[in-house]
Amino acid sequence: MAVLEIILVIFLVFSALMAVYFDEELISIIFLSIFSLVLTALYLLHKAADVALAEAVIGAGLNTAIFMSAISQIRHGDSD
Amino acid sequence: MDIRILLLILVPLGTAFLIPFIDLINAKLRRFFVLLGILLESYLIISIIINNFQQLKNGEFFLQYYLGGWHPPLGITLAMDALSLVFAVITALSLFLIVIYSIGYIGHHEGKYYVLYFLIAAASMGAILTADMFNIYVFIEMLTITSGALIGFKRTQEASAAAIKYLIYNVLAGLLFFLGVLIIYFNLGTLNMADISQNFASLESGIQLFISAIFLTAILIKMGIFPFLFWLPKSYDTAPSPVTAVLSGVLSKVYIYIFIRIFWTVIGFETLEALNLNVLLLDLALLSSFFGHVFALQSNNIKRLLGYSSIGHIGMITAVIMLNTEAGFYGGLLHIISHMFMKAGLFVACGYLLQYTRSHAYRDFKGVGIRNRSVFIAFIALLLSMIGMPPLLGFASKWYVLMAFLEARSYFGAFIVIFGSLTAVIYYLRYIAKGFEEVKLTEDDLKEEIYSRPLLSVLYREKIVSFITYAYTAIIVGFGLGFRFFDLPLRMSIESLMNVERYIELVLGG
Amino acid sequence: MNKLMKKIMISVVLTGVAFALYQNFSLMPEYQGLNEGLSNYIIKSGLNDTGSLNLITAVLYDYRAFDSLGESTVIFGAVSGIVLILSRKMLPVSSKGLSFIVKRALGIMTPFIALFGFYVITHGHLTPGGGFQGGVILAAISIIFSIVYGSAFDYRRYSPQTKTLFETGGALTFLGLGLAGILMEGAFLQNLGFLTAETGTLISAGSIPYINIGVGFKVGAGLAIIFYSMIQKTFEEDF
Repeated sequence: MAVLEIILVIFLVFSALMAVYFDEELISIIFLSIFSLVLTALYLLHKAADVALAEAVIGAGLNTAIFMSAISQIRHGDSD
Repeated sequence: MDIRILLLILVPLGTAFLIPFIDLINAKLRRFFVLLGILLESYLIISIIINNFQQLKNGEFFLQYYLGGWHPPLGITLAMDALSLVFAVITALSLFLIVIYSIGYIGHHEGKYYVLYFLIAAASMGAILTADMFNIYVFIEMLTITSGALIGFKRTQEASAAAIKYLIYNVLAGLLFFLGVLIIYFNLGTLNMADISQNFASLESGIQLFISAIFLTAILIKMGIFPFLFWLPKSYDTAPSPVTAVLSGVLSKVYIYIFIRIFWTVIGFETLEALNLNVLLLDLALLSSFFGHVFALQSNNIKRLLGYSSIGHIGMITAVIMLNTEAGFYGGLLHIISHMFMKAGLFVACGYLLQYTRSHAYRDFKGVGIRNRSVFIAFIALLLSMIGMPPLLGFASKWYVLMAFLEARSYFGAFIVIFGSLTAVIYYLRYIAKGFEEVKLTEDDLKEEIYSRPLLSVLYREKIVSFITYAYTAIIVGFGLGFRFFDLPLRMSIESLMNVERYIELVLGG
Repeated sequence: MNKLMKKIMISVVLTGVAFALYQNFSLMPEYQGLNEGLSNYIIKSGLNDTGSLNLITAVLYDYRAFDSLGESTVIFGAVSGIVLILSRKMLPVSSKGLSFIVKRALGIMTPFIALFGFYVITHGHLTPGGGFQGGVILAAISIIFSIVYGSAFDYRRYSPQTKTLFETGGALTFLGLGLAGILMEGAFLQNLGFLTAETGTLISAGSIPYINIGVGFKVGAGLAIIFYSMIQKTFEEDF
């Protein structure tokens, strides 16, 4: 249990650092999504099912979609 | 249990929720609906004052409401003491004037504008009335999101950039605030302000310092005190004038209220003194005031200049409150009231004066005064009040602030007050002189002028807008002559602010 | 070089903040379990007070329902702001969507996603979940429609007007239940006593399921509107 938690926390920090480190937006977004996923697992480990559900749905699902649509707008550069 | 203080929050909230429905039915009804909402709000405030006037006089004024029927510390409590009453009254008055101004000024996307406006109204009322830490965070978040959207209202590149900058700074501040609330809950197991206040002294001093520092950083960012002021001028400049009036007239004052509430009622000034934060904060605020006035001197843009001057005044208010003397509170609260009306009035007047100019820059200010003579005179009166001319409200409040600094032997503070007035003379007179400069309009200019008036095309709209400017000037002149009017509410609010034990007792026991 | 300097600066600041946080969190007392403060009371008598098996929902929609009203209002404000800033006078641009296989597969899956969303919303007082989470799942359907079938399909199925109607309807449901609390029980957002039933059944826990439904519609429609206004230039909504 404790080992699993430590591994997950390390993953959490790693994905957060990677999300900051890369300049490419797409990679950052994917790492953020991984971050949310790991966070969901951590929440579940601590028996916070409600928060885990919210984090999975919003952090890993919706946020990624919204960020993707935002960067697709940036790529096309048609922001008059 | 007085339901009216709950309705103070619910009326603007319900108005905001209903506006999209009204839009779907008939967009023309919206304007009357908005007026109805704000009139109802004013009625509530007035009825609260009238019904409780005797208690207010005796210093016993206190109303509260238990949401969901849960008594503290279990549920959320709304509480209104004399200090909240003063802030609620001036906030409601400002919101009332600015919404009428908006009816004349805002020409497009009115539906969404009013939704966001009423959400700001609800959130500022909520932040003033609540007695619960997490609830105050919720309302701060609401204020941030809605005002951020309104800063980007013009949808130009500049406006979007300013809105994003504003959101980054303020969401960060909100997160810090949230962290503070979390740590408080973790350590004390309660969120009710009175309950926290009772138990705060039992914490270790390291944790006390940590919590105080977090709240301090969050609120300093929100108020725009020195190290964190860089979001402010840009967003004041690019937002439409009524929004700027709300930002400077309502939001910054609400944040000052939260500042007072947290550092006097919840954390307690003794704790700050024990942690030596008060001296630091006093100097920081005075420095911020100094920098605000210096930046204002070199600014070439009228709205940005007013933003910098706001920084100067808010720094001064924070400093004079930090003295923690009765005179300090008196001057600070009076200056909050006068600054609220002066700044909102100035931005409102700016919105009228700058409607035909190409930009807000200094060179485009040429000839503005000749074209709209009467409004420009009102504008000058407001500027003089900012400087501190004797018969106006600005003089009275600055006088009390100066006296408070002298009484506390804080000569640097007194110097800052006088320095602010003197620099204000320089930077405002520049604009007044420019405004009276003759300008010869060429054919092209005239043509451009006609095309560039999408906002105030209809006559009655222009009437409304100038009327509100005159109303602000009348307030400044009238209360400047009769500033003793504020004597009773200010003394009562200082009493309730100083007497923390009574607040705790009333919230927890009442 | 400049970029490297910036990164080094940022990492120094972040390390400093992390160190300060660590320093202060280590000062804090050991977590004493749930024996102290409000949490103890809520665990002991939350079920009795509210009739909701899921105590988190009990806190969110009963003890501190006013906060939930505020939070959903934040989403309402964000939606209004985003629509305000992003809406432009342009015809909707539509993509053709993805391939036939994806369309068919998601055509089969979508009803189940919707069912799951409604389940999470309506069983908020019994199992983990609630209005916020279920609402986001419902919003995901609209997002799937836009991505897989093209945004014109989404526009035809659920026009922005419908979504606005759902959103404000949800908000007004929440507010209306609160006002009903004043009329029937005496305090804003107080749990409606006449709706309570046997604990553990679907229709129990007073007004909590209905508030959940309101929040679910509000959040779902709101987030769908946000996504919709981000992927394309919407119609001007009002003038």
